[in-house]
Amino acid sequence: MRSFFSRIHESVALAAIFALSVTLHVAWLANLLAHKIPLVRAWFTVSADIGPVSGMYLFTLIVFVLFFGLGVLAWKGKDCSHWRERILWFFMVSLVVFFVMTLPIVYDFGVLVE
Amino acid sequence: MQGVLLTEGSTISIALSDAGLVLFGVLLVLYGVAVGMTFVIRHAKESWGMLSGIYFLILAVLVGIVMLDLSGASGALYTIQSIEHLSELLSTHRWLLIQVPVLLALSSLIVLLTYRSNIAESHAKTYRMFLQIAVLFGFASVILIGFESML
Repeated sequence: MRSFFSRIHESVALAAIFALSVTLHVAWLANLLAHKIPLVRAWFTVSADIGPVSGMYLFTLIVFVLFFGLGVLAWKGKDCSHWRERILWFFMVSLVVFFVMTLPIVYDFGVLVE
Repeated sequence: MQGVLLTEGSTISIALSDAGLVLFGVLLVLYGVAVGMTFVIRHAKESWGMLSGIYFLILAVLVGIVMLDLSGASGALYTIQSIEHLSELLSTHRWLLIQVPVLLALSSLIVLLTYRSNIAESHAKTYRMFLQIAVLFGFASVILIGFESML
């Protein structure tokens, strides 16, 4: 038991960053789909009082937990040193993409065909 | 006469009666502390516990703010008619943006609890960099939300 806590379980830390990065992508995608497709917006409306945001937040949380679990299982007991830089870059790119794709002028963009 | 602090019905007393405003103020202070501590953790490795506590508080305050807004228990709302559409767009943007500090704080907490005092060691450089980027972007998101809420 003491050796479990004295070790660094790097798979957990790496999985957290990986799950965060994936969740950011899922979040902007969910927003884009909910904005463009009424069916998706209705599907995300868990609480009618709150609106589609209720489902989107819940979906984001589920995705984070799911990918965190998958990451921990995938990297458990393995040497993660060569994954550190890759996951960090994935995180940085995900952050930038999220900020750009959640700008109203970006996800609201549409082409009118007459 | 309505003053800022010393008079009856002062601006501060009105502001402190709004739970959301108080929480936002607390959040800014917590982030300020977290930014400072994150950048010196390499030289003060034993402060990982306090930094973890700060992140936990940040997470709790953020969840509290979101819960307050979702429950509709907010203060008075003011909309300037001429920029009504912009206000609506920015409100949607804020609902999206609030996810960033929540997720960043949660992930940072997990990384800190995993590495503990070992976060100061050379092999943890990548994770320290993650903590630094996360705290800066989280703080920037909160400030951006604050600015957008003024429109």
